[in-house]
Amino acid sequence: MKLSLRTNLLVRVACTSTGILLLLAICIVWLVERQLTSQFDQALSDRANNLSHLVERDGTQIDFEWQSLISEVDPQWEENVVCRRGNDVLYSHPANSSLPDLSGSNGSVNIAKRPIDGKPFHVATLTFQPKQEGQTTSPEDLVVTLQVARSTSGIDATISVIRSVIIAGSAISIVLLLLLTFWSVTRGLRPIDQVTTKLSQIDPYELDAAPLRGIQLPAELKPLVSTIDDLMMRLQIAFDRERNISGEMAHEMKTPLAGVIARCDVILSRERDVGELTESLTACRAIARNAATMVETLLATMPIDTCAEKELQIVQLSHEIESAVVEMDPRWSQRSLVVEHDIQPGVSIRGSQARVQIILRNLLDNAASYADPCGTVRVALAQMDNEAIFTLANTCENFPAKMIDRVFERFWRADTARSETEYHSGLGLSLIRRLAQSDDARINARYVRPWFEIVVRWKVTNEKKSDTFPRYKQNAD
Amino acid sequence: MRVLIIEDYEPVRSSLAQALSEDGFTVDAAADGTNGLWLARHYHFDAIVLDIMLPGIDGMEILRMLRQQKSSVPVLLLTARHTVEDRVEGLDSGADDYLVKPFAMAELLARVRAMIRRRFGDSDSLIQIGELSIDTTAKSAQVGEETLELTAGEYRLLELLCRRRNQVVTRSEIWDSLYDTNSGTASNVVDVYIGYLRKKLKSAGMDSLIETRRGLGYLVKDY
Repeated sequence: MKLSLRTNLLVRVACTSTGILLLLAICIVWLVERQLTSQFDQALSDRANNLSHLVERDGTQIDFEWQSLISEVDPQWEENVVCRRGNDVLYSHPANSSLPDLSGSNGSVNIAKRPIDGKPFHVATLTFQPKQEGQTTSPEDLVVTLQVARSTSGIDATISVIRSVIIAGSAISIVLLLLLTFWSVTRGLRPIDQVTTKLSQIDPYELDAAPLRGIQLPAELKPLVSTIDDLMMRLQIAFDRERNISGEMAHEMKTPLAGVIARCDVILSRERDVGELTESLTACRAIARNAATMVETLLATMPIDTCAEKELQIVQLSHEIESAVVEMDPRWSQRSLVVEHDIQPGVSIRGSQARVQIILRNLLDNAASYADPCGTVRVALAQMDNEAIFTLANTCENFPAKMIDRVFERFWRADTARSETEYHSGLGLSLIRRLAQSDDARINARYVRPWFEIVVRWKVTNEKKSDTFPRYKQNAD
Repeated sequence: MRVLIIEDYEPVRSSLAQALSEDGFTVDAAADGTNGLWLARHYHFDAIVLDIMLPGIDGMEILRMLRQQKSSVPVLLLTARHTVEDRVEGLDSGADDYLVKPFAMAELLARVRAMIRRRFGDSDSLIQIGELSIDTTAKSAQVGEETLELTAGEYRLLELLCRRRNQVVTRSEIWDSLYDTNSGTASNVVDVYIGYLRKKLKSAGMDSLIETRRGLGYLVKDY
């Protein structure tokens, strides 16, 4: 079972704290109990020693000079005193005490726990030779055993009370600790709640590039938040690009669709003969084929854009341009165009090869379609500073110069040459620009009569500088 | 009724031309803005179907130039641009209607008919002059209960005269409305059609509907 971070933290902190507190309580109880018992036993031992000094030998008789001491004993002690010689009980207080016969080491006090009449007692046992009355030495022929027993009921009760107090205190402390832990964890996790709330408030249709910007956060969360902000920013860029390209694609398809629908509406509006039906079907097929070509290009574009970062590679731009220009030879010939090219060799960029090919082929296709008949197309590539500058210009006398700012708008079609390319299947400049932007390339257009010029700037992969400017030369034909 | 189509995409342009033609309109078509503007300036049209994104001159520019010249010809903008801003801009520039591609041809025809109707001040598709009633949607005419058997040219002529009732319509206006710029029909064809039409109206009991104004043209008076 997976616990939430809050529960996990609470359980861990609570278990650890409770364990420590319990251990602490047990240690305190043990220390207190040990200390009290030790003091009790010491007092008992002292008592046995003191009483032993009051036992004197008078010949073969044993005198006990402690009557006054014993009578002064606090009744709560429930003190039993027994003095034996061998198995003979020489003295017993109270009389007939049921104190068990314990052997004690000579000259030192042994303490033992023994129940007497069902009650807990500590028994101090001392074996010694009573001194001869008036002498300082003790003859060795007479050995007695003195036993002093005291009930531990009092101290046990005290220990029990102390134990209860400590356990109760510990329990209260644990509860307080749990509450404090809960409060601390909740407060500590508040930034995460803030982050969660902020993230949950993001409108999926309008991504915020940095939704967590401005939130006061602890240092530990800052890298995470920074990563999320960065991710959101990249997502927004990707979504914007995706949305734009999808929009461009949808709009590119509107025109052929309108053509097919219009043709179908007309042909279905009344009964037609076979000739008319055949003619309309042929027209629809032509539109559909060109639309299919467009769709294939668009489909080729889609994965390139969505996997933009993965697809980046070193692209030999010079080689790609030369290949694309050669591929267009039939188109140049078809419209009797003169192609001048000055392509600097060895220029490479970092980007998507497939995307670069689509851009080049569509730009060249547009130039072939929209250049004046028998006009000129100039293709140039030069590396300047860190940029690979691709320039494509075509003659176009009738281009409306004031429209130059609109060439990257959706649906924009270049010039009067369009009427000669009714089934043109190339992509609009608007979509070409989106594709170029995916490789961080910039694309611009300008018109200086009679030249309509498109310039694409890619970032080169090396830092090598070049002062080469386009030097145009005509192709073989 | 004569309609000008200015549309650069050939499949749409040819389909529009055929549909309008089959609906009884005389159609001229231009593939770019420059030619379209020239036609609009030099010929009389009852409506213009105008694409916005055009090679040469932009459709919006054509519309502005026509309106600056006080041309009141109804204009239907036809474009793939679909946003509210685009529609507002088009209508504010002087367009009478706006249709987004792809469109249904029946809707476009209905909108063109409605524009022409509004131009002549008719509120519905039925023109009533005495016993004569013309259904401009069905392209049919009746006198009382009797249906007139008219050719396409005769119908177009009758509709034109009845729409412009109480106005003298000149021969050249009739010519412009009946024939596109590529037609090479003889110049007396208007008089011939008038003759055919009068004969059919006379047999239906309306022999005096079309009056001749010598040196000016023809007139249909409202009863």
